Amino acid sequence: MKDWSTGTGRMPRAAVSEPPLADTHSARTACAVPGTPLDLAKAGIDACVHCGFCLQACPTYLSLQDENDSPRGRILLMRAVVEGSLAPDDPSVREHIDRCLGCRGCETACPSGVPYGHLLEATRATIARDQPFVARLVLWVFGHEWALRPALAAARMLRATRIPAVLGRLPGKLGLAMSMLDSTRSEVKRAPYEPRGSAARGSAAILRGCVMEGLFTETNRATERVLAVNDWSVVDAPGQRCCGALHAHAGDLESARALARANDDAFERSGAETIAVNAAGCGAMMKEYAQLLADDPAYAARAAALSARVRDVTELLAVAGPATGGALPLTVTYDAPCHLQHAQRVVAPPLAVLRSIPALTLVPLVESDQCCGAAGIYNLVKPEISEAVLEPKLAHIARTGAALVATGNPGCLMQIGAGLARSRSAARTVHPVDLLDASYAAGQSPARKRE
Amino acid sequence: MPAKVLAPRLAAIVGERRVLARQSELFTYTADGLPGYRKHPAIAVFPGTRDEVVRVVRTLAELRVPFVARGAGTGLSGGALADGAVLLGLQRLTRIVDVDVENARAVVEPGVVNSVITRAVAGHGLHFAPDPSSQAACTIGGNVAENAGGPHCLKYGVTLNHVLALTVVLPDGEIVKLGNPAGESTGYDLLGAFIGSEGCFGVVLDATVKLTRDPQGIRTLLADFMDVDDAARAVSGIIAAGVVPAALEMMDNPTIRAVEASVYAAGYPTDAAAVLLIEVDGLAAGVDADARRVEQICRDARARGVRVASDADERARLWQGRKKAFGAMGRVAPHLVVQDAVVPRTKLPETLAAIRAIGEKHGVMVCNVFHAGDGNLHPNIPYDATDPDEARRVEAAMSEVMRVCIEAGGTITGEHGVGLDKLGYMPLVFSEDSLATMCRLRDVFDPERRANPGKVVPVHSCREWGRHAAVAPRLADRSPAVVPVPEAPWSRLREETLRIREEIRAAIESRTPLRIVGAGTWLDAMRPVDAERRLEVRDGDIVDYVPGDLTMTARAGASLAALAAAARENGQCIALDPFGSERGTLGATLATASAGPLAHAFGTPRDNVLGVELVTGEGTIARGGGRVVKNVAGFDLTRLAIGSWGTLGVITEATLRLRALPERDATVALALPAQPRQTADVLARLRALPLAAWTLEVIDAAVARAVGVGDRPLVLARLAGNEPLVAAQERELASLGDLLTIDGAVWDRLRTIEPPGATVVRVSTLPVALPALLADALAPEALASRTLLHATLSRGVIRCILPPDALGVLTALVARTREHFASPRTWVWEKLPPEEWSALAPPPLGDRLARRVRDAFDPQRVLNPGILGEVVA
Repeated sequence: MKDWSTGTGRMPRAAVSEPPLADTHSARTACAVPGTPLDLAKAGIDACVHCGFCLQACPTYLSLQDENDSPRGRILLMRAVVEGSLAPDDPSVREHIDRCLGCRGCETACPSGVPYGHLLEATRATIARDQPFVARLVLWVFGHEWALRPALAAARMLRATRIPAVLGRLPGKLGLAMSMLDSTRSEVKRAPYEPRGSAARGSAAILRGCVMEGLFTETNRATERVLAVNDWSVVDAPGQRCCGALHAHAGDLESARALARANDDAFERSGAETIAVNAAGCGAMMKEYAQLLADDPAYAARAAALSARVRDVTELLAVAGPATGGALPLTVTYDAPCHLQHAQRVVAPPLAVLRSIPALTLVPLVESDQCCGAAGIYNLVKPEISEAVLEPKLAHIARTGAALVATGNPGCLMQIGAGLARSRSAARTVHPVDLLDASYAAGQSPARKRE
Repeated sequence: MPAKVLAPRLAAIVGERRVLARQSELFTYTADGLPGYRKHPAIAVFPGTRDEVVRVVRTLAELRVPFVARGAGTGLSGGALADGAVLLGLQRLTRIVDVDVENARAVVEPGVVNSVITRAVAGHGLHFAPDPSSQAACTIGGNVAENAGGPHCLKYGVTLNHVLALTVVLPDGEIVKLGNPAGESTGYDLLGAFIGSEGCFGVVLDATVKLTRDPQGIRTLLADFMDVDDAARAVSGIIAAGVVPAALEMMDNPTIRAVEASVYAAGYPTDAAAVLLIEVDGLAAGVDADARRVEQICRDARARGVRVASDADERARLWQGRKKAFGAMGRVAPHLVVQDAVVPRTKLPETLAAIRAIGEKHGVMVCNVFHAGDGNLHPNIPYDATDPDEARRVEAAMSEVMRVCIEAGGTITGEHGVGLDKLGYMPLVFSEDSLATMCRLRDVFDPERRANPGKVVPVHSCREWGRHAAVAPRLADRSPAVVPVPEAPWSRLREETLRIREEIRAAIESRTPLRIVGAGTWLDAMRPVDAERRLEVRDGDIVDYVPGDLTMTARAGASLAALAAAARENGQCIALDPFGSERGTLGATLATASAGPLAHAFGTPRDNVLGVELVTGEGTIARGGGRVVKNVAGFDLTRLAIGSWGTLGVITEATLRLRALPERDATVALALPAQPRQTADVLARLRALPLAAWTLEVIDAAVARAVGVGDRPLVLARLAGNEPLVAAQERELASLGDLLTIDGAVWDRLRTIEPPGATVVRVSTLPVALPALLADALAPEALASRTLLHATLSRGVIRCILPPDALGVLTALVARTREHFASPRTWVWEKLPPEEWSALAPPPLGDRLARRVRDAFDPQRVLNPGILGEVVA
């Protein structure tokens, strides 16, 4: 049986004598969709005992109040497809599977360790889907470097005109898209400084990412600086591509694998000991390359080795202390990106980074572990549900009175940023690394803190 | 009714989106929390407001369509499965209607998630005590339907003990209110009957729940054992020692390993044969002594180690592991049988050994995770249902496990309910007559049997069917073959029970009503009875008393004094101390639901009785409940009989929950100021004090004189527990005024202060309003000098005893409270001169439901006719 995700594998078999555990059951069960990704993922469905603990952890269930839009309900739909009770192209199956945000909040609530994220991807790869044009276009662009670069450059030019700020007030998808674009303008002003560090912690290559490098360029540079301050030697990894997360989540596992192979090559070539990622979704994807390429004889071992070296940037910073910078008298709250909290299970490090900044007031956010509704391109494909999920989040943020919402994922930065702007809130979103960078800039020569 | 016809009618009420009729979308609703069953509803409807629920139910009533109410679908008995019926989903009714911090109660809609209530009131130092393991997902509507328990019900009681009132819509569309949110409940305990009725009696629209004050101190211990028997012995030892832990849970090795492999890994030692998770809580002063005692008992039982949670985080982790254990079983094998049974606590070691042997015999792995302190077992078997041989072995093993539990004197479900899963086991614990009587009760609420059809009581459980139980058809997908248990509890009927049945049958035959008489101490209470003949309940034997189980089964004719004496010999007591003669019988105490000062801490008879045997007005012998401390099998005839004043049946036997006598038992008196205003102030402050008193009884100066403790108003408190706990409470009380220690004999004197022929009434209100009611409306100048007045503080009940010639005072009093007191108040008339009843007290049987209960249980009105004021045709 496959060990699905870090630390949550099936129970180890005991050495003492006991009645045999049935772990070959999947072989006996007839499958109505043999050979499909869903067939291969069937053991994960069997792990669900239908206890219902996932219900209150599911943003779409809480918003839509129908169990078809809950993890338990979707798993039953998957089971129905596997058993042949429902056809893979059943419109209800498609509708409810499509509505899933893929936040994986259910995974951290599941006592049985159901690998829900994998089941979702496998289901999406199995059932007939009729993706909207926007989704297909976005996936295609992200899959082709030569199309992606100009697209992002055009977006930057548009952003510079400040037209998006105005159009962002419009209702509907256009307004949302424009507001999201506008929210990517760097909020944190900082003076240039020279990062000085010992490089003693070894080499780290940074996943530049598509949206991060295209629209959050300054955050990527800040990431390089703060790692350097904290004694990493930052190396380049040319030839790296989109991480493939958008494709995998959409069920386009082949494109995702192609991108994963390209990245595997690039990061191996760089020779870096550690891969630092500042986008939670991308980090989660790269940590799962091992599973994604498990059946590829040429890449399985290499992908596993790569996945083991991937860290969220805040994990690296937290290990280092991080070094203390100058005072930043700001009121900040933190919202956990789902792919950091639930997929990577990285919970404390981002908070440790924020707490390390002198004079910064960190206000706790109620339900910070709940999804904001961004979910990749979900907010553009299903804006109504996305907005319904975002609504309580904005209300909780308003109650903190914070001027800045820190979160470490581009999708969340844009979704919450646009939501705040469109609800006329004065609060803005910011990447935790930008705040640490600003603190270092304010301190100029950061005082070194050694563990 | 075809879905095509029904769907548009329902959509007109709730909107298109909230009606699911496509098979593909109904698929999700074919299962609840119990793995292994799937039933297809005809249609599913999801009302969003209370008004929509009522309209849906009325539409279904009009069309005579069966329906099944469902909350979060976390139930573990298949109770929320709708086989061809309409599924009525209530998960959208998530409003917390009102939180009343002062009176520690909240009004919530049925779809509110259990743990959400606690989260909503956390800032006020309160919580909702019932904590089923699924509390993060399950809803209050479901908790009420199943009478949900949870680890902490060992000390705090189950849902029944925490719901004050319900608004429900009956299957025929009528809206009724059950219970009383602002004072004593009067009439039949239909609230008690409804709770645990598994959705067969109606749909909850809102529930008024009691909130419990957070304990000041908590100690959570994890004891690990290398031998399951040792752990089981430690459990028995703790219970027998009289420590009442807040929770006492056991997990065996396979369960520990499943949890430790999950996201809820709690740090349980994976090499231990079993761990006990034990929590003691209460006032800070007392918990350390209790924790030390528990630790010593565990070590004496050969615990390898005992660890105390160092902080709130560690405690939360230890509990998360326990509460998510059932879900974690999914790691072991693809399918799971979740079982629920109860045994007397002294039988735990031998029962666990027997279960282990059964597992070995059939080659299946039994994982035990359960509420050991209650004797409530959950033997779970992970298996692979696609292997027909394994499935057969699992079924055989489960059937044997149930049999072992029943033979040990236990029952078939402690908290999961009967639902569909346990239907086949019902004839093993209830006689055909008991089952038929339960059907009678169901018919009171739902004569068409449209609400949750086919659940709880086997469909064919009319009398003629039960006889053939051994060849009963298989009722559910996996329902067990019915194995008759030799010597079933109901097969040994006592001589007197049979005599009483014959007398009732003769009375029906000859149309001669009967006056039920025990010791004859209650004959002047309630309305005059119009009956020439007496039916005497004489048998007063103690049928069964195992001190280690803290339960006692006695015949109804036993005097409370005799039972108390028997318990005292074993360092235990019965928490029933009604006012009146100590010669009063158990049967009378239950029939009248009389409570005394101990009700402050332990509730009224409904909270202390585990089961009854009664002979109904139809001449049928029925049993409700059982002899174990936790039991949700069948409809609740026990609660129905208690407080019914003999009008539904003659109680012939009852099983009581006992309490251990404390290490120290001190009675103290707190002097109250003479001025009523100041008194109100002191009482308000008293309410806020951190106390865990067994009694807190306010007495006026006249009562103080009558019981010989001076001549000023006092608060009498019985402080019980370990030494530091009692000392701490004495200090707290002393902060309010002069405190003197007095002899505990005062309690017996207090019970017998009323002179013969006295008029006795009770008035109750919200706890927070009680001081004002005492001080204002009942101010001494309003009363005749010979009036005696005392009040049980936490219940909000004042009892007034007037001399025979002081009726004018009473009339003035009623008028005065109406004038001076805005809060709701409830009058309960205990004893009045016969001619005054019609003028002062409206008949409590004014409502339709109560009349139907009476009609169902005593159609000929042969039992105590007139006592409840009903019109006798």
